[in-house]
Amino acid sequence: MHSRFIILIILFSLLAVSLAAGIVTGAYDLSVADLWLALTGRAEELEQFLVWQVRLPRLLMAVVVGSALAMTGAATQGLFRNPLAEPTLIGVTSGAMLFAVGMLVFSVHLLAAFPLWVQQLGVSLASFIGALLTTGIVYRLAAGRGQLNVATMLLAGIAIAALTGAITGLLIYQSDEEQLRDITFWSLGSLSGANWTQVAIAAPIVITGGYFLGRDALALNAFLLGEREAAQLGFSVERVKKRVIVWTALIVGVCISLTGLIGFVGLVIPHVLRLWMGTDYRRLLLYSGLLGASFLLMADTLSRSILAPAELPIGILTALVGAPFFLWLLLRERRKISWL
Amino acid sequence: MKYFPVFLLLLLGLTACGPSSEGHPEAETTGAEEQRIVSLNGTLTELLYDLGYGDQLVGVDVTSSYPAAANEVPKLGHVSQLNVEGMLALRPTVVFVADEAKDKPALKTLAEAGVKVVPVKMNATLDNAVVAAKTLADHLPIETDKIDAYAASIGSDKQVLETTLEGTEITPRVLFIYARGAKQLMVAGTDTEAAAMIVLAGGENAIQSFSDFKPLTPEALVEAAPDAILMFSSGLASLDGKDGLANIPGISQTPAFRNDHIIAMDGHYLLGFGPRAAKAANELAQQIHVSVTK
Repeated sequence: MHSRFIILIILFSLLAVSLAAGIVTGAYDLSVADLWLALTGRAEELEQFLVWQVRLPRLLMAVVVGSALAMTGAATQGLFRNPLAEPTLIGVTSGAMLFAVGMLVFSVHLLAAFPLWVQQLGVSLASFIGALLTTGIVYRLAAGRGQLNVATMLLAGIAIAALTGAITGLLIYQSDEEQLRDITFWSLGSLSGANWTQVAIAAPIVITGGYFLGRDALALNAFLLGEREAAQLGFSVERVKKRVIVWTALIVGVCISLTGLIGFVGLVIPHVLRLWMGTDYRRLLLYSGLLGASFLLMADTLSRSILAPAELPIGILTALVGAPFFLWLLLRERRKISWL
Repeated sequence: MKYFPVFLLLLLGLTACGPSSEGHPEAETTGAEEQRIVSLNGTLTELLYDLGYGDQLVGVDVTSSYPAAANEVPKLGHVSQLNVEGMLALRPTVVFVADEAKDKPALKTLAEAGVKVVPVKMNATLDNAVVAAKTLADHLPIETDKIDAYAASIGSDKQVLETTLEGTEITPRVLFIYARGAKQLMVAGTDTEAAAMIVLAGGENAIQSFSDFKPLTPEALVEAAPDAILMFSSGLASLDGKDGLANIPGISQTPAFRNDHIIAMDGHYLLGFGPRAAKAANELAQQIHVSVTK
């Protein structure tokens, strides 16, 4: 009980530090005093704008997306009882990618008649629809006679990912240089487009989704023993699976559609916590959310300040910073590992 | 634990009044005062230097590499991946961007912050520099005679080009290859700046069957049967020169390669469509026609 409290404090402190570091750091030189003035609305207009319309929404977006990716990562690993699982496996990522690329390539023709904001929203909307659609297809493929076979779903997810990957490749082949560049940057992810609208779209879905995933934490714990055992313990296994998949698709779909692909967070953050405190989904989901938020905050702070005034795509950083750290942890804890 | 006060403070700041966001620092007028200019296009950067605004540039994009002084100006990366805060930190009074890139979200935010973002229409024509300079003059105190002088010098360059072209009878088929190492080879179809430049120089784009750039295939090379192959100097260098080019399947079978008609020109000079476009077209015209008659 005691150590649990300490872990929570550490995670919250980490988040607070990351937030504080994130808000004071940036290409624009802003002293802490000026920052405070801007936060309280007493600074000059440009600095006010910078803090309220550029830095803050971006920080919150990092918190929302980071926690979303890490939480859903933990949940899918529980669902599939597979340490390598991440939301990619239920088709959500590949579908989002395919539709986003399709929109980037064809929007010129498809949406030319529409006003600009529709065209811009187009990519996000398309990738969100794509995320849900492919997840739906993967789900249908794996569901038969009222039962969802997670092993089938895993394989179907891989097959669908390969298929959509091929179609994406075809679209990329059709794209011109400008589109190609946009596609590349989209697939590396970025929070540079963050604004309050994005936060307002993503946050409610992620918070609601996180809450509902959390409600199935006990069931996910029971899944560790196996599906049949979970059913015998009184969980309605099929419903749990359905709920976890639907919420994961929604959460990840909305995040990816707004920020592009940000890899690594969903896979690694839950494992870091497992190595540290074991697998108990009642806490793992929340802790993953906290650590994921801190991690993405730090990665994004680096991404926008390391090359300032230019910007490094965040997808590069999450892997660049996260992978060595994870390997180090893995080697150190090698003996203790008993996954899931 | 000790950071908790900071965290609470931040939360407090967050929940405190959300100040209005319509930050519009004093509207910029085209006075004689010092400007802080950001240019997000290599050709516009070249123009700005040419027109005497080089020392007022505070940021440029990744394509701004000419003149050499532009490399000393802080680089903002690619126009698709801009850092809003980084740009705000430069406190620009005006941001120039090519028309087709004007809708990037980062530029929208910048405009919301009160920065003047000016889209400049760019075309693959020899007069592009004059047209673009006129747009710049709407926002910077550029004297009209400077632009007239531009038009005159481009005009005389065009005269030279015409004289060159008058002495030619054939229309050589020119293939433009964009290379970034032997694994990344693209050829220019129709509707590309490369094709436009080839036509201006009195040639014909060797590929007529598709638009934009497509990966190079040996069969397409043979079918295109170019009389001359045109590349960026940097592209040819990335293949280790002509010897490296020879190793690419299909290249050595082309008339261009057999007759050693490989032309390499600086990328920005050739396809920037800046003030030197007519000069570049003339140089290209001479090279492709010499190549054919040789």
